[in-house]
Amino acid sequence: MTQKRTALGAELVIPLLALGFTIYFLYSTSALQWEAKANGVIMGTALIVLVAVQLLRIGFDLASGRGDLGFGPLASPPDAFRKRIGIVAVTILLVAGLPWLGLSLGLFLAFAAGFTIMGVRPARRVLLVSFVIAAVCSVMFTVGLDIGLPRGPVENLFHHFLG
Amino acid sequence: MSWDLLGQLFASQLALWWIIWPGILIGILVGFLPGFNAENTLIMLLPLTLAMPVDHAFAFMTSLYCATHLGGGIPAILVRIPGTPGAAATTLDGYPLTQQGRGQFALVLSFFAAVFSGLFACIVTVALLPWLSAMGLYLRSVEMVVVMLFGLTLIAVIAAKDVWKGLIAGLFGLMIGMIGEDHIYNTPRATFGFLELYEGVPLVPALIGLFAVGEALMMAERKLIVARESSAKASSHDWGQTLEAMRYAIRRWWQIMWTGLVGLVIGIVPGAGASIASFVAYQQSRMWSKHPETYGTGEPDGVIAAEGGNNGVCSGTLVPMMALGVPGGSTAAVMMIVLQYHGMTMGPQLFTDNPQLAYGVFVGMVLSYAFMILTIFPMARFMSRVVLIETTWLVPIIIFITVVAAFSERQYMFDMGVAIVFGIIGYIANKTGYHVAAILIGVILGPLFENYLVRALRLSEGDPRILFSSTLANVLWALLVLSLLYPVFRSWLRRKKASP
Repeated sequence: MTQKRTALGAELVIPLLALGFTIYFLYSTSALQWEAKANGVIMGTALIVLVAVQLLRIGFDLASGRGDLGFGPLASPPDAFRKRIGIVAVTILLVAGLPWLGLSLGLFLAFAAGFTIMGVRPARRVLLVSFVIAAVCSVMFTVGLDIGLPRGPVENLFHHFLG
Repeated sequence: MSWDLLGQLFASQLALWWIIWPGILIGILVGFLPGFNAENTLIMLLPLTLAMPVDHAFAFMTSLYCATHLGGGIPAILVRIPGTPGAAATTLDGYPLTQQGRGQFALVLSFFAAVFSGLFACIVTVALLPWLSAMGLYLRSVEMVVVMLFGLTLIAVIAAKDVWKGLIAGLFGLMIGMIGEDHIYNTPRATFGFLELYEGVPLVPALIGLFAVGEALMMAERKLIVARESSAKASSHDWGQTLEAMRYAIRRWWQIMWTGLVGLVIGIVPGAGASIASFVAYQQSRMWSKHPETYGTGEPDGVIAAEGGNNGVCSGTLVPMMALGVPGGSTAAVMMIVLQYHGMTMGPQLFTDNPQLAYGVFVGMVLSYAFMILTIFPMARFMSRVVLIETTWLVPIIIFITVVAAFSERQYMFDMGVAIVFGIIGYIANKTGYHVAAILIGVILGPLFENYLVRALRLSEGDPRILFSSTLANVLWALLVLSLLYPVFRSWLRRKKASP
């Protein structure tokens, strides 16, 4: 019977992120007064010790053949992973495009793309729901809560006609 | 305060029902939306509250404030997105209950705990106001270091399932919480060159990323939030779960009362807040529970404790403002602006010069809670059905709306990017068993802990013995050690009894 091997590469991501950030923190505060770095040195040292122990545990698992350096859990199931990548990409594009598109148009396009990536069909349904949600959100964020998001062509058009 | 005055205050506040109710509705909506809070809403509504008579303005502001605390628990339970930082602890048991098809039960339980802990805290405040206001003076940086440790030990509790992963996540959060200017010299630390990080990691975008974005990305592999076998139970919209939750909460009246008191005491300390109170109340509830192993898996007492602590804070925050003229939090500071605009002087003389207003605020809060019961309880049956919406719709809606909402607190586009980065960290942590709640506790409590610790150490010129220099601090240390040792002692006792 073959035993399922653990994907230890995925398990390494958070400890390595933590280790990298801690080293950066300690480096960036090395020349500061003790008040600015005391807490960081205590917590950071503890974190480095913990990560070292975790790395040792992973090393033992690798050496004993209980695991490999794969990233399987992060990318599984494959169908959902494709959707996740798509949604994150659309979110980044939404944030990057918001200063030009404005909230209404930006959200409408993001929702339409997002629902399509998630597998909603037909296109007419996607467009209708995207339009309704984007309109409600725009009214809520810009008129109701007035949070000062950048204006785009739709907001400028409304501003032109409604003053 | 005489009974005559109390009766008059109830009558006068009851006459303001028409302004309390809109305050409650706006508050619930604001609390529901991640990124919005009572503070920024009250700032936006300043033109309205400044134009009102002062008692009307205060009734409106306090009802809105209390309702935001209650509203924050709704998305925390239904979709694991805390509407306010104070509701983060509610996700720990509220969301697992929703996944089991018991969303309505969890919502009603949280409403019950929120309303009655808030109500109880108000009544205690009215009765003990002079003594409570003095308490704020006794809890200084030395004592607050120990209070913070009460909350931080929750990391160890979460770490119980996998010690190394839990501690790494918690300490990683604490390190992230130290980004930004230090508390003494304002020197920037580990900001990656971003000016936007000088004030520290923005809490709301971090919260949105770790919970909303991270969880929504996890949802993509499921059809529904609820487990397939629980969807029939979740689709039921009768009163069954509502009544079950009310019966359960009544049986746990003591739990509601003491967690409300935890919130009240922590709320009195200027700078402390609902997130500390809810984590401390949750941690203490788990520590003293007869079945601590069920916490984090959908334990109803966990929901009660988190919401009790979260809502007990409301009246506590107003105590230092009214009695000492020191706002207990940013929302209280906005309320103070309105009072000062109307020529009110805060401090002890407010209670002698204008007792109608001073005590009326808390009586108004009691009525707000009473109105909240009527408003929110019937809605739970319908709210809980949100979980039946397919994730193909929910995932884009949650991610795009919450990422846009991340902009609202500071109005920096940068904060949306922070939400995305924390979302990816949250997703990786979820997938690999590093608990996001442990990271969040570190991010929330880390800067506060550092602030109090460094202040205390500076007073003693670096001598750590200052942490044991006051009677109150020593009592708190003893309680902390006791609460950490008690579960160990209890499980030893159980093992001893079980062994022949």
